[in-house]
Amino acid sequence: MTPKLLKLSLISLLTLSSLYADESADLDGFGGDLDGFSDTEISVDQETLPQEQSQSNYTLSGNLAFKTSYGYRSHNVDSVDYSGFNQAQASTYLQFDAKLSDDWKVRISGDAFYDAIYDLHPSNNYNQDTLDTYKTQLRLDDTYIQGRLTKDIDIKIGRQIVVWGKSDSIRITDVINPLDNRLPGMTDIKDLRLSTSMAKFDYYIDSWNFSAMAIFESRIFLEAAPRSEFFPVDSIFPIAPNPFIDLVQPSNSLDDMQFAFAANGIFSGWDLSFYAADVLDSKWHMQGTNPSNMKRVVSKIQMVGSAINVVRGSWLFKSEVAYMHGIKYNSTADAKNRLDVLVGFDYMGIKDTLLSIEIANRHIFEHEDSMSDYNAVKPDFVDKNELQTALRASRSFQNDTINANALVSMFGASWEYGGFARVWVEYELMNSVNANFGVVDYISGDKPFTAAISDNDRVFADITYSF
Amino acid sequence: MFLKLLLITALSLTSLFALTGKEIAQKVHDRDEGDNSTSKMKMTLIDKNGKKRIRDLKTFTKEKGEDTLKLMFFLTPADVKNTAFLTYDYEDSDRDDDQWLYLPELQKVKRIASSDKSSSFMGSDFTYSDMTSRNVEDYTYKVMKETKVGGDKVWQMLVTPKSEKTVEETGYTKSIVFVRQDNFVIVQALNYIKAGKKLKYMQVKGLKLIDGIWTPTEMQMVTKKGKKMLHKTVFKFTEIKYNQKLDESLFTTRTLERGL
Repeated sequence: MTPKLLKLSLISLLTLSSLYADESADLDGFGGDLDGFSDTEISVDQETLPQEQSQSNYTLSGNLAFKTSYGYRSHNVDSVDYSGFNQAQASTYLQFDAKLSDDWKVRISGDAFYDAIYDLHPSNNYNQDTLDTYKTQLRLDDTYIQGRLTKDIDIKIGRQIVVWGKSDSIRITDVINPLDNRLPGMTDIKDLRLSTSMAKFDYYIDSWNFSAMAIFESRIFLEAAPRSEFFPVDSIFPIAPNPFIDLVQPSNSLDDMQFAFAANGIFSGWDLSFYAADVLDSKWHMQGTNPSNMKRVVSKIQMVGSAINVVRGSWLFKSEVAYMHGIKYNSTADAKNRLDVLVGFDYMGIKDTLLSIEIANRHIFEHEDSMSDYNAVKPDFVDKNELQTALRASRSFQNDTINANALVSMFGASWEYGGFARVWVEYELMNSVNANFGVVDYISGDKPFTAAISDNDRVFADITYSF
Repeated sequence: MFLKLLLITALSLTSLFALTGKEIAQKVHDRDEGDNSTSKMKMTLIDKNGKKRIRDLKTFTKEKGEDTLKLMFFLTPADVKNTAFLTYDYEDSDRDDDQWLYLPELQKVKRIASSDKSSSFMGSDFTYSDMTSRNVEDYTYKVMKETKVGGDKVWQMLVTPKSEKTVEETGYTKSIVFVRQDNFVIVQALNYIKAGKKLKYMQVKGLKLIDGIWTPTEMQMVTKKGKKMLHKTVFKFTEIKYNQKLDESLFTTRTLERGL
């Protein structure tokens, strides 16, 4: 090696070393933290190792659950004391799924419950409506065949749930499935909608989905039993015959056939939907003039509406509007039209937290004074404008082991008509076993319904094993 | 002889030292991660007492230009089965990702505001930001030193977010990453969490060459406070397949509603 060449090589090395040094960061302060890698060795048990699994085309799943609640305020309805333990319900849900091919599937599901509280409190003289509504249930839920007719067209026939709208707590355009209102403020959102038989066709093109439904089952909402703790009719209506006025179930006739159409666009950062429906109303109205021949009936309404979602950063804005035609009321001869408008947002900018607010107004066109008259023979208890507010907060802790939730739903511009507040905690005890406990406060207001159930406050708990 | 050795050393060092931290990061970013891939993922969540919760998922991934489409379905446990998650992960950091979640209990596809990615991904120690690619331009990089991880030569780099916005979005104030020199895979990372003085240790525990693509088959993330382990998540991937016939129409809310 010549001295010149050696010198050049050394200079090159030194230059490179200095370049490297420029890129090097100060190591101070990291040494201790970096030791953390060395003791993070874990061993994963053999049973947790992934294995090649052959997936069956037939699956049976479901759950077993037990629910209880305790009314901590004294309240009597129809000579029955509902304070203390007022629910001890064992239930099961079964779901069978069959994958017939890549394009076709079948689902059959149903649920059943038995509430032992009605046998544990033999001294309480529950009326038959209450026992029929709350003691036992055996029901067919989602039961359908679903398939792909062409690359762009899907079909789904049978009992199913179709969710419309972008809101989560207040229903504006979500008019397809009736609701389970037997325990207002208490029903899990997953159990709230009632499956309804229909034929649904979906056509997909680019960012749009066009949906058409023919609903051939005239299923209506489930209401709290008259003269039970959630429907104390004697405290609500000036005239409340006993037994209370029959609720007529609409027939599954061609006349009662319902139709619905939707167009849903999914775009980057926003979604837009348009809806039109000719469906059964989500409430009843009284027919007849005197209590002896009165009936409670559910009539059809027509609705056109729209819903939009827009995302900006951690904010999800949502809005819905629905124009309802032909809503019948107790106190008026004419059917009315109503405009429902909702605005709200979700905020997801706080770690593991969701904050949500929804505000809706329902405006009745050609509102009549009798509709607001609490002393009318057949009162409606509705104002020209009815405001509803729903606030929701949820946060997960300990890697989703614990989920804390709060929901406040209030009526009136200054919440003067009451509502309810519910706080509950979900706890994952182990794989597939979840417990839930919380409290519901029914907040009294200037409306007979909320005033009448304001002492129904309770703590509740349930445990569910899913399989 | 000595001269030859010196020159070879110099040339080798030149080729290595020629890479700046940012260039290494860019190579990590540009590394072929495969396209049209499917896999099964077992997620094991382990708390500080050793209690385990296990979730099985099926995943689908497709590249669309520089953007990535991802679809995930929960297979087990029963209480979350058929829960599905769809993400359009945009390369442009100024553009929010599109995300939708399907909850079978509600039978509803819900859009998720995705700007904040510091939240836990499905209860794991991985955050949503860990599950999506980071934009190279959002960070500064400094090579700290060369070292070895599991016998393989790595660059140890300090990665620091350029803006408070990135810190807010990811929840990390800085990270130390270990990049394998032979394949540009991040095999280890220490993430500093903004809140609570916690640290997250990511380690790739299994790495395989599948169809010419270096593929992590096992990863873990451990959350610690001081020396104390708070929680740990292990991801294991099986049935990894690349170049599957995945049509873009698979990555739509229609698939979320229909299920697998």
